[in-house]
Amino acid sequence: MAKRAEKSDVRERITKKLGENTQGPGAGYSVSSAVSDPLKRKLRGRWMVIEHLVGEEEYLARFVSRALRDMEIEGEEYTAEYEFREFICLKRVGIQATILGEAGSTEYFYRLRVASVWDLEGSGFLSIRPEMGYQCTELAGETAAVKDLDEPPEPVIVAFRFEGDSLILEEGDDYKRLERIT
Amino acid sequence: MISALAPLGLKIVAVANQKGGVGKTVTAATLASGLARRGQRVLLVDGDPQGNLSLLFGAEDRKPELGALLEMLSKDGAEDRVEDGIDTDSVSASKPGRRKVNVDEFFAKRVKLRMDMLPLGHRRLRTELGDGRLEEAEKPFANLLQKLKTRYDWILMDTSPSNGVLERLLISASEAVIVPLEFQVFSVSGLEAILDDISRCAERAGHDIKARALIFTKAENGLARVDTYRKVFSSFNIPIFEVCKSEYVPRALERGRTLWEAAPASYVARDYSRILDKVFLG
Repeated sequence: MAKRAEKSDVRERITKKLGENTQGPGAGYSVSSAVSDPLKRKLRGRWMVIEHLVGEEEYLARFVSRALRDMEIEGEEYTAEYEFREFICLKRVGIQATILGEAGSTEYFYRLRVASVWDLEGSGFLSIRPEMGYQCTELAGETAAVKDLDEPPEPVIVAFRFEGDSLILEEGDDYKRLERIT
Repeated sequence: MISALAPLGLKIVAVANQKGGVGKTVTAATLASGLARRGQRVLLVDGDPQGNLSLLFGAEDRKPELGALLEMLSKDGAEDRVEDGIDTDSVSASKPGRRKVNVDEFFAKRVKLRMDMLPLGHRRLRTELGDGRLEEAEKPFANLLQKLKTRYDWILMDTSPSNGVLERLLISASEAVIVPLEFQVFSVSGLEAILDDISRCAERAGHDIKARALIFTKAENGLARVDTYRKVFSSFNIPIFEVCKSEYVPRALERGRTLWEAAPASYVARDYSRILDKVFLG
């Protein structure tokens, strides 16, 4: 117990000293390419999201309750795909539903496309920095709204791991299970 | 984001850790020769009296060397001589009748393309020169390196596994420190010691000196608790790089070759290459 406390003290002191002695936050930890290259190879390819939860809630249900609230809908579907290339990750999301109204039904379609730069960050983490992208909403086949990605935001740190053939991505309470397409 | 040294104008870099066997000499040799291969003009200073770096680059018998330079700099009026002379590549005498000494006399020139070396093959340097003389040489040596920045893009210094006056002299003359560490959790306590040393040297030198990167040499993914180590060190506020354990390193050294010559496509070379990109060149 005492030894553990001592180790933790050392860590705290070093953290403090590094704070004083080094260049500032966001420094990063780079694992050896002997580790990262095989992992990157394993990640490369197209992956489809087969389960997406935010907290305990299905992502699709959450999206619908926010974007299409107060509307009666049916046939909602969600597809999401990540394509990891050597340096670029392409994210493609599509949500479609039929909005039921007194005058008839309207097809709703939401599309998100984001191209990000990615790399491994430390052990079991991905650094994903969106570079360009847009989201678009269509109603009855007509574009209703388009929004480009604003200024590229700070990199997002996403925890990842492989469970059997599945790839798990976690960011806060956002949990995705993906399966390889190619 | 990592702030690289080049854009900050930090060009004098010590590779230091009081602990032995952590890969200081290999790291200094690989980073220096890697920079030279990328078109940078490099001066590599062997600051370890064991002289392994000098041996690697075939400069172990080169005389005069760092020991002689420090001895000269420790003499009366040395600072004036450095101040006066180095702009014209010479160390001039402050007193009439004193011989002008060209600083190039101490260098092993072109040990590699675009790379000169200030060798050290003087195992008894500490005892023969003594702490007092080394202390007197501290400031003139730092001034000399500052002047040499006009001739070299980078000055890299290997240091010995100790925390004596010689190591203090080298760190005090530097503008940044790279700290190689063993890939294990006990490295934490050694890290604390070297950070303290750097702080003290900065205070003595009167200028900013910081540890700019930690390098875990001989990293092995198969080690037990490897993820724990990574988590512990990830929380530290400094760029940390793993360099994998590789048989290419001892093989290259045995043949007197740099890693870039012996195994440029190896994982270990790629790990060092990433350090050059991110920490040095930006």
